[in-house]
Amino acid sequence: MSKQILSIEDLSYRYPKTAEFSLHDVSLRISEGEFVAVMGSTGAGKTTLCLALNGIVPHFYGGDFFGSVRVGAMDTVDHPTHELARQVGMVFQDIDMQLTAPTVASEVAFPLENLCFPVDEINRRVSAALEALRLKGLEEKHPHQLSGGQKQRLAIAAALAIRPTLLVLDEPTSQLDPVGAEEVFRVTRRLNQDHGITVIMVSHASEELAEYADRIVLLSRGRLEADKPPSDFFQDIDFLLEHGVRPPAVTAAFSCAFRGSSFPGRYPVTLAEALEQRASVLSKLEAGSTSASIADGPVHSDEIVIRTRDLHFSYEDGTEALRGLSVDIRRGDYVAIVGQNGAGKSTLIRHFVGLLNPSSGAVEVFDRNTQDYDVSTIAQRVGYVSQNPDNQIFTDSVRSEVGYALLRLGMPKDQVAARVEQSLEELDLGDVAGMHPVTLSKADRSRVVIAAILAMKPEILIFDEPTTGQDYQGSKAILELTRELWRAGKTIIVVTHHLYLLPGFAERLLVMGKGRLLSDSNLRSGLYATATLEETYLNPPQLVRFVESFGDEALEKSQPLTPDELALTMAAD
Amino acid sequence: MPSMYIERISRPSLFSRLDVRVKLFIMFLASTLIFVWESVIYQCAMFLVALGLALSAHIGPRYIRRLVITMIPFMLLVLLIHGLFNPQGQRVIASVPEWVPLLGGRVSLYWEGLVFGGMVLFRILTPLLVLPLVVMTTDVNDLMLGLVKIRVPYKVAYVFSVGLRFVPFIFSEISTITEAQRLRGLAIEKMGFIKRIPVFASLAVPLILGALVKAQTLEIALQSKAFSGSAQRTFTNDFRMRRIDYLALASGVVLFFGAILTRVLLNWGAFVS
Repeated sequence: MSKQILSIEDLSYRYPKTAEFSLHDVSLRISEGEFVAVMGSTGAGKTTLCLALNGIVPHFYGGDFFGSVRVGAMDTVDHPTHELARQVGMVFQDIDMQLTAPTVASEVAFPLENLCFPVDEINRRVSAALEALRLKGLEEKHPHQLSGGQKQRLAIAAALAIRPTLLVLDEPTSQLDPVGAEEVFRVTRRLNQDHGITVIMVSHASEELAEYADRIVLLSRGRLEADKPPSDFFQDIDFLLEHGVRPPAVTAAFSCAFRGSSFPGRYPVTLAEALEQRASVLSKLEAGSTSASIADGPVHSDEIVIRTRDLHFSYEDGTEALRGLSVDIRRGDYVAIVGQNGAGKSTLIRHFVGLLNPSSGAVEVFDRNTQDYDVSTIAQRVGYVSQNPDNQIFTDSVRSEVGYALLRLGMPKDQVAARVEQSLEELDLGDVAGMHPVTLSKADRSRVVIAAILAMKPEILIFDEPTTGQDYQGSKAILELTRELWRAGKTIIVVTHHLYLLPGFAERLLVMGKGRLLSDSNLRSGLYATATLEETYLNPPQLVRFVESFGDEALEKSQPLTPDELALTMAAD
Repeated sequence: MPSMYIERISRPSLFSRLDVRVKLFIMFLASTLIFVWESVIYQCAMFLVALGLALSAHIGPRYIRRLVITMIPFMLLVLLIHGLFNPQGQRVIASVPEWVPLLGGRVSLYWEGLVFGGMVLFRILTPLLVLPLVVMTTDVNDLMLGLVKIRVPYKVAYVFSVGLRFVPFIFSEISTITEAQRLRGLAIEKMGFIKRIPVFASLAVPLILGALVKAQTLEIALQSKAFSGSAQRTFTNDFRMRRIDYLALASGVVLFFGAILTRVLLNWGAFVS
């Protein structure tokens, strides 16, 4: 039995001036060398649990703290955070705010300096940590010159240089693109497996955690609801969904396919396991009859609402962000634009509302060149919902927020009131209309911003990364909303790198890479064009990879995108 | 993407290589002597030296132009108010003609007033030029450690350096938020001054909330990195004064005390017009 390094006993905690406890009777023990993942929806208490490990909870926040947290021999209540920092290395979600030094090397040195290590030792450790995180050669760079993945690796290097007993990562990949996220997962796994570092990681990335974690802990409303190895943890799909956790795609697919019939053994939780169990799927396939028909969306009008012609754009520093892009968006389209960071997605959609003007070529919105109007005029027909709702909320109640711009645009009060009520109703915000937007969840704050934009009655709605930083339920809720708006006749454009979320929502897929349009197709063939996706460093959804590696022609031909579709194909075949 | 960090001049120069303590001393020197002297000639000389230093330290003319342009309305106002109403005024440059009702023959622009206004301007412009000279040619961490070396409490020095980090953050937030307002259909650029006020006031809500959240995140990150605000810590980049630093320091000290003595004893740098 390896050494126990963390023991949490009956931990309950309540932030000051709040009625609800954020953690309820949580008990957890972690042994040396383990990789423990923490899952759960927003507000489940995951971050609070992390902050309790180095004493930020309760030392920094105050509040009511019951039970005990012991890291090694230290009780967190008896030791201040700067002492616990020697045992617990922390990596946070906010990649910019956690980096405080002007160079990569001094960032890693900072905690060591605070802990009074001698200069020689600091230099040795900085060098070793940068080596381990593959950041050698970047010592003198300013952290803001690094990519997102490199920044997060730098934060891990700084935490690691202390040689902590425990490395805690709180949603380290939620603000990263797929390549950055993969870098962080890979590096964390190597630190755990090759160097024996004990890891606690909060994340929503089910597929990755299924592969990497030794145990997964589920928090829901502050209570610890499950603590199992991944192969057990992901078995009860209904239970997981009830607590806001998305199961890996293959697990969901198998559970759908064998719903009602007994599945021999356990559902696979990784792609490798799923392929091992192909025999059982094959037997299922043979049992089926005719091929499944999977309904695609309705056909829409031919009216082009946005048209770009040979669009080029370069930023002031000379970066060429768009290199000759021609695309038509038709009324009633639901388009997803995907591609790696730097592919030019945001640059493109910013042209659609006139926030940027082409270096050469043209953008026409409703048959007029965007350069002929200003942003505020276009904005009344093309709604643009940018990423962070908190930068877009200006007033102290949901209702006044929705009417904020209309009043200032000089619309008569009774007309504003009518539009506000309609918008609130459409977004189901009637019950919270009088509340301060800050008191709502992030997904609901996004809804408030959408409601405010919808009140202008735009015909086109553009969403820039609407699911980044949202949990599974939040992401789903926002996408469902876009779908409703689309059904109501709006043209929808969504920029994202969460491909697995798109099936069931988007219809058309634009894949961008290095400022060019790599492909323009319907969602189904777009997601199965895996070579194109990989060209722009996007991972195809796990389900697509499963179908592709399966090697069954009929299955591949039907191109299922969701667990249900896969199940349907299997049952029908 | 707007940068999260203060623009820093990375090209080395004689000034940027000086020890941060010497730089801080020069900053102190320039900002105090400009108040010791009342003579615009002395002040102008000091301003030109500061300007020369800024240019030699590769602070672009663009920055300086921006500084001057944003200050122009303010500068005109100061000159006009002093030119018209400063009690020092004796020699009339121009008067409102007699035939203008009410003001005619009663309001004149005086030479001494204008000179006094000029003095006020130099007192404002010089520190505004020297502060970025130091901030932009020095690493934030060096600046903080320099402050610690001259016995500023570590926590205060750190708060100062964090404040510097926040300035560009605030600016990038403001641009994101005004962009969000334009996307709600508000044509801020077309609004009159009065209409703009409530729009700008509403910037404060997301700006302050955002800054508070970020400040708390930063504080938590710092504590998690064993930061306690104690000066009892290791400094990996220790400072050593070189010959050029001593030279600059010595000349600065001589200039400082020389200026004060000659001002008190010989009345050099007194108000002239």
